[in-house]
Amino acid sequence: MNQGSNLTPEALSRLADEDLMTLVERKDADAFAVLYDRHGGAAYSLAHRIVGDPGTAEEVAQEAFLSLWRSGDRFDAARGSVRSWTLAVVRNRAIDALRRGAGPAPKLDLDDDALLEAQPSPALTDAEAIRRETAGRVRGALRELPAEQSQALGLAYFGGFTHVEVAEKLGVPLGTVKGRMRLGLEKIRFALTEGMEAEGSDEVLP
Amino acid sequence: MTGDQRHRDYEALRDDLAAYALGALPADEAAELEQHLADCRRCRELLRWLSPAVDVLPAAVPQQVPPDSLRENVMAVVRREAAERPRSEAESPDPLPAAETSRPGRGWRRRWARVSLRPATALALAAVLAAGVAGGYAIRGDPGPDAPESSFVEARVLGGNPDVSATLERRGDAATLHVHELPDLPPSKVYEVWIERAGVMEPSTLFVLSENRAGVAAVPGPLEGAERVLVTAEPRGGSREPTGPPLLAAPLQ
Repeated sequence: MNQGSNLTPEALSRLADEDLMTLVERKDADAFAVLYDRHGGAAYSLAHRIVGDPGTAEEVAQEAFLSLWRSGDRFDAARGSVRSWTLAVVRNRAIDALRRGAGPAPKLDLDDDALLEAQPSPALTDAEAIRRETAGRVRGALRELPAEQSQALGLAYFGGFTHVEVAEKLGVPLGTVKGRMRLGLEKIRFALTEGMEAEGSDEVLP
Repeated sequence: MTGDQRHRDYEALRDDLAAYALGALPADEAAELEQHLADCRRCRELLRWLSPAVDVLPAAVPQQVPPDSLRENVMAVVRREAAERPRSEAESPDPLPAAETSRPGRGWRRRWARVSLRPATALALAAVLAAGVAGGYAIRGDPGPDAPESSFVEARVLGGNPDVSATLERRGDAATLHVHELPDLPPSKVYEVWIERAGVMEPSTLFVLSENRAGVAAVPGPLEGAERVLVTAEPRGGSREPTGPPLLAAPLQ
């Protein structure tokens, strides 16, 4: 049974992702369209960044959204946000595509300056504003990382290389590479914590 | 692993956790680390703390405007599927609570983990192990109606859990998998569908269970030339190759 939500597009667009997912559970295509409009750009951009080719990026993003649509019958917020879930799927599928197709080598620089701000965008919702603030903070943190740390993070996350492969590529010991990954991630994590002070309740490093 | 050893290895574990969070741990090491995570609250907390740093990495990427065709293609499939009445309800009569005993033994997972870098070998081994665990029952195909439209195959449960059932509905070159009474997964996991072709596992789709522990997963084609559709439990976001034993297997031929 395909009951729509009977909500107008405007009403749907005011719902949080998690609320939209409860409608998506009931196979509400309009609610899903709102999710697509919120995260399609980020999903496509991530796929494009990893595979370096518009056609493959489009395929990867499509697979990821259909996965979200089809696995939506119980989306548990404890599993992470809709956005991070979708982007994690995009990342994995994009790496698959990269390995299958031996596409162009991934770029190594992280702080490319064609930024979120350049994105032609509809109304700037609060969530979007927070996201951009986060993006700014992440880019700031990445810029401040020592080059060898952001390189290790980039090769792993955007290049899909294991730590062993990264060590081979860079010609440094495995332990060194692992340390760089960890230090880089921890710095980004602390940068996020600083930006979230207002929200409180962030644990300290265990 | 003793507690002492764990503490001694804590620094090394922290490095491994970062690599794991980044998806940079080789599959066998990832599987071993997951075993440790199941026992170690401290490491689970550290991983949970670290994860947002990975989740935000996509924000560092130059933002592109996706082509209109992406939205059109996604929404065309979504609207088509929204209009279809899901067929699953009629097939899910069993109200029994799933047994909590379906977790494979630790040694078993470890053996699977060690060979999982070579999917064909891993799968062959898993099939042998599964046959032992499950009492050797064979995967049984249902001939189904001869109509070219839909055919149904009952999947066999490889974990030895008698409550689990699954049916693969094949239509042309794609299929839909209906599962019932699979165990609930921890929040860090999802179910992943695989297509086995020439002994190699290709990742297909991800799914989670609804309230009644049922799930429906569309398995896009091409299925031609593939041998089986399998299901494993994988870390959130899915895996490139299985990190756990197959839980279900449905033959395609």
